[in-house]
Amino acid sequence: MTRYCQTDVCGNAVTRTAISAVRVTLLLLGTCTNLLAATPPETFLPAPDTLLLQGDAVHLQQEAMTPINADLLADKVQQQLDLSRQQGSPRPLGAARKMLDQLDQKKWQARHWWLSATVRQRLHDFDGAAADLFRAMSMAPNDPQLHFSAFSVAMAQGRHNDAAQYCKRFSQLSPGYLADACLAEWLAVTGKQDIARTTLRQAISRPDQNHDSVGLQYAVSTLAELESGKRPEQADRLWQMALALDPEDLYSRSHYCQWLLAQQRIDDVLRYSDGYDNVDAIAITRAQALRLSAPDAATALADRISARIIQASWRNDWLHAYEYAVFFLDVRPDPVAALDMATRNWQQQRRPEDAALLARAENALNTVTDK
Amino acid sequence: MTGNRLRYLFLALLLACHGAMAHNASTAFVYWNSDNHQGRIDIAIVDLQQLTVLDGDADRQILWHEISDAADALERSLQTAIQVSGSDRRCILKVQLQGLTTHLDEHYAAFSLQPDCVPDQLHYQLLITRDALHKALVSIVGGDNQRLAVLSAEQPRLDLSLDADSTATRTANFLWQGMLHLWFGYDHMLFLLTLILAAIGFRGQTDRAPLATLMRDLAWIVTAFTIGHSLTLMVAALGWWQPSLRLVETLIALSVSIAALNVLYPFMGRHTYRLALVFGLIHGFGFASVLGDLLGDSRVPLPELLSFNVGLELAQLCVVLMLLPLLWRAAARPAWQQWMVPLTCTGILATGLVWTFERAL
Repeated sequence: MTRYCQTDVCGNAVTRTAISAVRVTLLLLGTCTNLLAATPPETFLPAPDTLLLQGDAVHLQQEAMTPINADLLADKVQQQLDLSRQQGSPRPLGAARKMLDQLDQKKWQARHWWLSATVRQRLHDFDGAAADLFRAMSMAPNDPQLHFSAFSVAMAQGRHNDAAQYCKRFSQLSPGYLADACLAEWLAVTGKQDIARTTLRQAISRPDQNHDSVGLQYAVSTLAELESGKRPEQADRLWQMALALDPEDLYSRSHYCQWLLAQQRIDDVLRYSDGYDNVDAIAITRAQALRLSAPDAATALADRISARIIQASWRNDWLHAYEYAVFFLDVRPDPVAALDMATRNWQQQRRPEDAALLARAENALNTVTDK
Repeated sequence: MTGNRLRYLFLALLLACHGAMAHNASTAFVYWNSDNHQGRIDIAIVDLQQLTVLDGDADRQILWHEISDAADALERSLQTAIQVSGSDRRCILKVQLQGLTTHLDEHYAAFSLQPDCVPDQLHYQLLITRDALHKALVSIVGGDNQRLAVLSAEQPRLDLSLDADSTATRTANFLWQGMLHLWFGYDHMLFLLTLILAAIGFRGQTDRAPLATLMRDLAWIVTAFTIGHSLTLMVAALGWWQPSLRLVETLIALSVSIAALNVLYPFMGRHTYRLALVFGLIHGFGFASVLGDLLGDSRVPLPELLSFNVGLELAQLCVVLMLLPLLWRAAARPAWQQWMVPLTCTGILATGLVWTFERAL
């Protein structure tokens, strides 16, 4: 049997891809078939006034799917993207994609290509997103938003040189917190963490002329992440500040919880993750914390996450492959499944944390194989 | 775009890059019983709103009675969007609201599906015209068997028979995995390469053998390797005997070095096929452990075993057919004897030894 590579993560991508292609069958044919019940879940007749859905998830009217003009369509797609963000749900993205497909691409403006790129990016189709942004930038070369989007996509794909170019152009077109944050992010991934932290600290302490709360929140969470490994007290303060600026920022919440877990602050993890069991990244961190404090509750939560993974595998939908790899490493150890998920994630995203996760999964499997 | 919109869009995008998301994309569940030819579909309450307006009183709440009040409209929508057909005609599908159920903590309405004929095909158009990510996860059961499938915009049709893909797809799948394992199992590939080099010859041969002769010789060698690894693959995969994986791995690594040494100093003479046979036995145990891993079981069903083995042979054949003509041409050059073979084989020998120590320790 071929041993799993222990070299640097960029080294044996072909081998890993092949291993993954082989390994994934374990999940699709084995785990799924074995774990999914052949019988459907039981049904029941609830009381007439049983509440099933409420709030923004309730539609007051059916969304028309008749052809509409290009601007109106873009607005509707935008609404779906906003809904997806508010609910933290990929569900509206499917509707957004379908709406965009209604309009002949010959009629697309830069904004449509940008929206399409955003949908693709959220679904981790980074190649598609990059292509859409390229089309958008050919139509609106001075739109700063496009350059920032292109920066994000390039960073996710590990194209750091391209990312630097997009960030530089964005900074020229739209200086401010976001420009400082993108520069710091780029510096950090290219090994200049100290300069990155200093740059961003100075930027955040500067008086804000534009009242850019969105940019400030982004810069603060970026700095919190940079400080996490170096200055715990600063990191703690910054994560809390990021959450105070936007309590619904799931990214900051999930990373803060992970950081708290690493600091062994179990009670704080449970406090900040309470009510977010539907968010895989946060739920998995919570399950880890519960293992140390309330094993029964940890088992129940892990069972629910397992069920989600089984459903994702049945759908062949690997949007949360990163989180699932962490789950199979830290919550329900299964090195084969962990490597599968980490490899799938690596096929989508090439950030430093994705590389670290893949290396962890490889080591976990090699450790088991060596035994 | 206005500045406000720009900033708002930025936030949406920034969160998108960060990627923490809750919930799943729109998913329905179809349960089909191939014994009584009836089924059930579970649709999320949030998705039912795509079929008709449920919150008639606009209080931003959906209660169960609003679902049951809209049952007729919902059932009609489902009848239009889900079509089943038998061998000679389209069946009339009776759809009826059955009750409430849950999937992953989400409320779903369950509808029974009762066709008036025995269907063998299902055509699914529900929600996929409005949601590009919508999928229906299908479970078909009959007797003790179950088959899973997925319906989507890309794949809206489904054969409702229980074994539509269980044999053909699994066979093809294991065949492909057998091929992949040989191609990307670098230790097996290096061993095969040394067998090809040994057949072409190196030391003491001033003239190359004709390609046809070479192919015949190589056919014997590769066949011996095949017989060897097929035997032990069967022995281990059927659960009869499986030696220590560490020992197998170490011996596989060692086989690579010994085979490389045989090219530099052909101690097997014209009997390289014996070497291939003996080490083929070792490699077979290695293949078996992979196959066992794939199925999560050390005992492997015969169809999967055979297709995996055929995959290995096909991959082997591809490698030989691709490499042999190239290497045969290269063997005509002086560099072949001067440095190409010595360097390659020394490298392979060293690599094999490193692996041997790594795996033994």
